Amino acid sequence: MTRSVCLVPAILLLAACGGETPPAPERHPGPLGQGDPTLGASAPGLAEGRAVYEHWCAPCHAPVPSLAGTLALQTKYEGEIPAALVHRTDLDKDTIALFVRQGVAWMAPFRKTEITDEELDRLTDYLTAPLADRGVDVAALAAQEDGE
Amino acid sequence: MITPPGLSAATFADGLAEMRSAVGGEWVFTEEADLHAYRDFYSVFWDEPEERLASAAVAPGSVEEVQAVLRAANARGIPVYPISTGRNLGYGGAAPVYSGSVVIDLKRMNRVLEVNEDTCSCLVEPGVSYFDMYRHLRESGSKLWIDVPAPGWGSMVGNALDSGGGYTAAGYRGHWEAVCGVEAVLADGEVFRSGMGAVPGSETWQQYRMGIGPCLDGLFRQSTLGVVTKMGFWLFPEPEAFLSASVEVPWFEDLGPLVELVNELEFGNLFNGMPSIGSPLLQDANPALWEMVPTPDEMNARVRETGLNAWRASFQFYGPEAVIRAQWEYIRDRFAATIGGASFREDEFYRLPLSDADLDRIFKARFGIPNLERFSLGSRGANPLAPSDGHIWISAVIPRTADGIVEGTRTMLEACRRLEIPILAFSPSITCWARSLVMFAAVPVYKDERNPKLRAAVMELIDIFAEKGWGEYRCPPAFMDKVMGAYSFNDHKLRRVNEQLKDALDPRGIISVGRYGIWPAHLREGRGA
Repeated sequence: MTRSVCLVPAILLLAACGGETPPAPERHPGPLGQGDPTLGASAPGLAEGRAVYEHWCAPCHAPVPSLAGTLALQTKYEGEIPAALVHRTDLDKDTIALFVRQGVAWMAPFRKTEITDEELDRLTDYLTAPLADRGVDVAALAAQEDGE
Repeated sequence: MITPPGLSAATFADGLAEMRSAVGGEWVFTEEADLHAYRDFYSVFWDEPEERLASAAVAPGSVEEVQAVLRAANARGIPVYPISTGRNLGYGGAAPVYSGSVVIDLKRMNRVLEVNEDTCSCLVEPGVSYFDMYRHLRESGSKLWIDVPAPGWGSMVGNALDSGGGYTAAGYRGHWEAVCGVEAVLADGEVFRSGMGAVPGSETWQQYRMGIGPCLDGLFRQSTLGVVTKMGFWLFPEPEAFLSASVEVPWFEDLGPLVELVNELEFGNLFNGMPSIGSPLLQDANPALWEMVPTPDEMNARVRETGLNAWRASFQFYGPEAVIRAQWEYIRDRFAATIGGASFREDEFYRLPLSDADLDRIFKARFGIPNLERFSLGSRGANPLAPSDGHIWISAVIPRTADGIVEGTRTMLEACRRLEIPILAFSPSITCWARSLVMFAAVPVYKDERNPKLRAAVMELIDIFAEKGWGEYRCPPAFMDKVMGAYSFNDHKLRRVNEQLKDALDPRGIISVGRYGIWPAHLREGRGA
């Protein structure tokens, strides 16, 4: 998996050689390192749901094999179903909502002060939308699945 | 619906009505479906009668609303239990210690009130998570870092209040050590500010911690005395570079000089990052799970057989490249002169800020970047045991000496074997907190009939530690009375003074009832039972 979206442009500072002290580097915000770096643009109406996904789900469920949720689902389904939440097409809104509010395994449930009912509705809209609308690179995903 | 013990349904309903009028009806939760999310998902009492359950949850959005909630509770003797982001998993989660308490869920109070770039400090509300703060700093182009624990969804305030730790420089990674300024609402609804926050118009609340007289910040750490609504922190100005380097020494007997030198170098400020003391030999099979420390002869024989060194110390440096490379060179020289056969390796070097490509290679928390990657410990893929439903931590403060490490490991692993306590991860030498070692074990928890046996075993383990003079720094609610019981000098004077404070500041005994073994007078005899 490669990071296809660079959230914040990186500045690679080259080392000054020799004995002189290099100048202090310019201040720079640094990488955000959050959200789902594999996603491209999503359909405009799904922005709010995607934001909920990126804030609350992606840290464990983004398409990065080492993440806790992705790793757990890869092991559970052995590749029969996509391990990454954002690649799943078999879930309906109620099922996703059930897992969010009930929790499963090490994933403790999410309270309404964290994800409101309205945000949950937007989230489940997003995660049940067509893959391309979510911002998933469908061709790359198909190529990856063919390769497995 | 659960009613708090000793309260009539009518009184409780009346209290909830007053809370609703203060915070809005949508932010008071009494339905079972909603309260499910306030269970401790890793509880060792899951589905048993003793499971600690909330009677309701109320989510104020401001200090004024917290005051109103506490006044409503205090007037009627309703027990309340504040949580920040509610993600203190392994230590109680979002659940109260005393069943029937109303959880005060502070997640909605999630404002970053100030970030001061000049004084490298901030003031935040309890609902601010590490993810929230990191995003705030990056989006505002700040030069400052936060220190984060492994799980980024935790609260800066909540984790500091429970003495959590992270992975960056000294003075920041012990989260309570980086606190400067506390605002709390007391049981009577009055607002208290510590340190320079008590001087009207002060601009130094996040600069000088002590103020005048007894330093009262500590009243709110792991406490039952108030609801913290603001907290100041010192933040780490982003360094220019990061270096990680390690020294390995071959023989069992080298551990003593190694620990002594690590201590001298750290306390002498020759490096500023988190040191790590480990064993290539004992962590060969699983880096996260130390094996038993064998006898010196056995260990040295295995060193010869395997070619693996007995011990390793690694050092983290933050600062200008020229400075930290010179520090590492000095440390190398000191080890070479002190321990025969020492070998050295530079493990990682990064110029900062990191690039996006660097993110894939690093342990993010060393750079103050919040994440949830540590939870892969519990995933089926990374877990050597059967999939579990959660985990608890056992964490005792042991001496920062070679004897401490050897005796700690032997005691822990022998007891766990005998008591049949399964372990997911174990290290005797965690150095998040200044000057100390904390011995950590992650124990898997299952939502089934194994829990009573696990509880009894952990109780015995706490006794074994206490006999050696070791106390836990933090623990899940099931063990709070037991752990506080081990701090027993002079007939439990520590607990008795805490009880006097409780009686003085919270005479009706409503806040965080039972937390860390402090019970209000009316529940003290049976310790809540």
